[in-house]
Amino acid sequence: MRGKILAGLLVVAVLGVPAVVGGAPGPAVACPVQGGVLRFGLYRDPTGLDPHLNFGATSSSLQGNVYDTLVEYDARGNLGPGLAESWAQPQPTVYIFKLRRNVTFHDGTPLVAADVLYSFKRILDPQTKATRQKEFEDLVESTRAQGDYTVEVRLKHPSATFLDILAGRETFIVSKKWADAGGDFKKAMNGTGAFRLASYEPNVRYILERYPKAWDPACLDRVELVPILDDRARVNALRSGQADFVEYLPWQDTEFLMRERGFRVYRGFEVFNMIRLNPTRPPLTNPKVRQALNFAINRETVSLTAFGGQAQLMDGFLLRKDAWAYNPETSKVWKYDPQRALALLKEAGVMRPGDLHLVLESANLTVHLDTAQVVATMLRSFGATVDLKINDVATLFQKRVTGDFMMMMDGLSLPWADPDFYYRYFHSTGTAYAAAVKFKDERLDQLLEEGQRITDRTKRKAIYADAERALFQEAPWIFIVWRPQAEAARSAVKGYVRLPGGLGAFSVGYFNHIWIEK
Amino acid sequence: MPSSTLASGTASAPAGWAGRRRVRRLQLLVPLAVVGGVAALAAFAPLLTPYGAETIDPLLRMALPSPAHLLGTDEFGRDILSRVAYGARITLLVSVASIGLAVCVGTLLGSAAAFFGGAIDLLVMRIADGLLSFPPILLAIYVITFLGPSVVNVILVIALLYIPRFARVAHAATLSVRETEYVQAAQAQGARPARILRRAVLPNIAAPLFVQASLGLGHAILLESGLSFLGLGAPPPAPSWGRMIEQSSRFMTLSVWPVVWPASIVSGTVLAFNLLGDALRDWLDPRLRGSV
Repeated sequence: MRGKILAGLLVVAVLGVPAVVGGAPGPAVACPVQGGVLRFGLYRDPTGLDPHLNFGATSSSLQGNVYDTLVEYDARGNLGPGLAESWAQPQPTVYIFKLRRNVTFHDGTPLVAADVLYSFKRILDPQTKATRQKEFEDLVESTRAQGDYTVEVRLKHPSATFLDILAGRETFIVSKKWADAGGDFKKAMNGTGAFRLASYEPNVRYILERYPKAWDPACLDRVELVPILDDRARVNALRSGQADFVEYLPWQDTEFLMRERGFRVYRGFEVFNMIRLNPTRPPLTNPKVRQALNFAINRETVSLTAFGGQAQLMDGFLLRKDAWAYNPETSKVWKYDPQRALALLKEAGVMRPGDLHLVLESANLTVHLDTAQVVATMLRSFGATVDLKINDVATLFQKRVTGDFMMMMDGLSLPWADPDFYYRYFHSTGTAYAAAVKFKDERLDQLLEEGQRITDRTKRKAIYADAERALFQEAPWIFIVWRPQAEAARSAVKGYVRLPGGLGAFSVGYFNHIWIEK
Repeated sequence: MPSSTLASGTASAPAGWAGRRRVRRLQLLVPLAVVGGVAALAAFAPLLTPYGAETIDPLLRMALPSPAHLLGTDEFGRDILSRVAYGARITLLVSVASIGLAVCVGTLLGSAAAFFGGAIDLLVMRIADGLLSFPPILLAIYVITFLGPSVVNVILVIALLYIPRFARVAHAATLSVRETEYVQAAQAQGARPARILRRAVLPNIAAPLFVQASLGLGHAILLESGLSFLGLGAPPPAPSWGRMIEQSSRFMTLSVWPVVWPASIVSGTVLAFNLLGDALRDWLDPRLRGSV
């Protein structure tokens, strides 16, 4: 085993490949082995093809490999060149992107500035219902092409997160010519990525074929994405050799495969499980009740029972130690403290926990349902009445948007590394939570708006610390755990790199650097 | 089973007779004891174990059977004996309620259809045949997906599936009873149809319905476990046997006990109800009654 790795290193050294072993996301690296097929077991169907809509983390493996963004994250999570080989910021509100030359879409047409302008226009068009429509509308003043390979973007105000948004999974660059010729983004894909979508059958398989003229070409000839919904079936497919790579490894199999020879497990903690609270539904209208719920659950127990002790406790908010805006003071505020929970309930006028009648909704997914079961049990033993309702994934997604729930078990990953993600959740117009349930806190609104426009990090750090203090008072969610998120592959599969921190879900969008040892 | 009945019916040597009678009695008593045991488990669940069905012990997950936890604990550290016992409540409630409902409605429809004949007969029995043509589990999944998973819906679905079966049995039995002299005598005396059905027909078709009900209870348990295995039964963390099997089978690489116990009790109970049905049939058959 170790011998093989050493031999691999030697080969790499002899070939004179840059020091980043294993092909980190970023500029092209020579492939140690060219060719081969990767059979990838998906957790669920990617659900949609539209490059400007977010279909959840599982869709990254499809969209991220077929399409490219202007800027991309590298293996360390830093922003680097993508379709834009470089960019300049002559003023705080002006960005000038220089496009890579000789990039072609899968239909053969070259990438030019008009395609970037068209992509921006499509995201801004309310008809598209693009995931980033609101962010773009708030930010983008104008776009202009300077020749075929330069794009100038003017913003309405300075933004600390503009480039992060452009590196996201919802702002891919699409072909104007293809769209003008009647191409339907919901039925076919025409990107600039290392793979083109050769054929697909929803819920059965998606075949990605190497695009030889890609600017960052792939080592593999083909990737077959196969949704295997059942956890056991997916793991068994890997163990029996029917799949080379599987995602969403259940914790019990994570431990098992880590010990097993011939497999490699990649694990991170970018997804957090929490419960969305609806502040328009009594008794959750009172922030003290919402705080009390946070003190009434034992996160350690959730980690032990629902994740075999592998989860990291979410005793603070969304900024963790590796984030530059991390604030130790607001990071350990949630503890299991039933006495305090009782006291808070009394302050809120709820004399006995028995007077709490709660309805908790969950999707029928093990990663959610196990946590929901444990939380329901804990709140019941605290004294509350809890009704656990199970929905299919589509219904739950619907309820997320309409806000038709009292409490909803959910798992999310951060859209980007910058703390501006708080805006998307907790600003009163935030599309990822607040808007749906009419959550509004004047102070938070003000802080999150400020945090978006100021670029000075020291000031921003203070702002987000204040925002976390406000979040503690408001307790819009029950913050639970950062759950272990893992993939596993045959050990012959090389070159897969898990992006750090909150960016883990992006990792499966870089199949072009994967190769299979012979 | 039927072959042994035949054998005992024609037995002649006294010694073999006594032995076969003993076997026949065991065939009735053993399943009866198992069913009684499960019923007792359900009835006395709170007395049997000090733990609740949902009590979590994070430090004692997937523990082996021990004096503190006679059947061990599951992946959440919940006592398996408590879950099996409380699960028996749900399972028995569902099967008894659904089969009870199906017996009442099915018998009424079937015997009325046979007794009156004509258009009513045609309509009722064709609808019953239509329902019988669906594979039970598929129809159940289909209906539950629409109505949403809950105990009440599972009861209604199983009842719906079994109404045509009881209607068929009652129909056939009523047809033969309808032509007997005592029914004709009652008719000649001018008794109203409802009275004839109640006093003359029902008591005489009870035996096959009784047997069918016992078999139906076994099937209902299987169906309920199947539905909750698929996540369409009582929502978690409520303990239901099917869901216990499904949930814990994810952890079979780490511990098999949380699966083995509920799985054995499901198969044991279903088998017991089936054997009970067979034994009852033999016992209730007037031609064989004297031989027990």
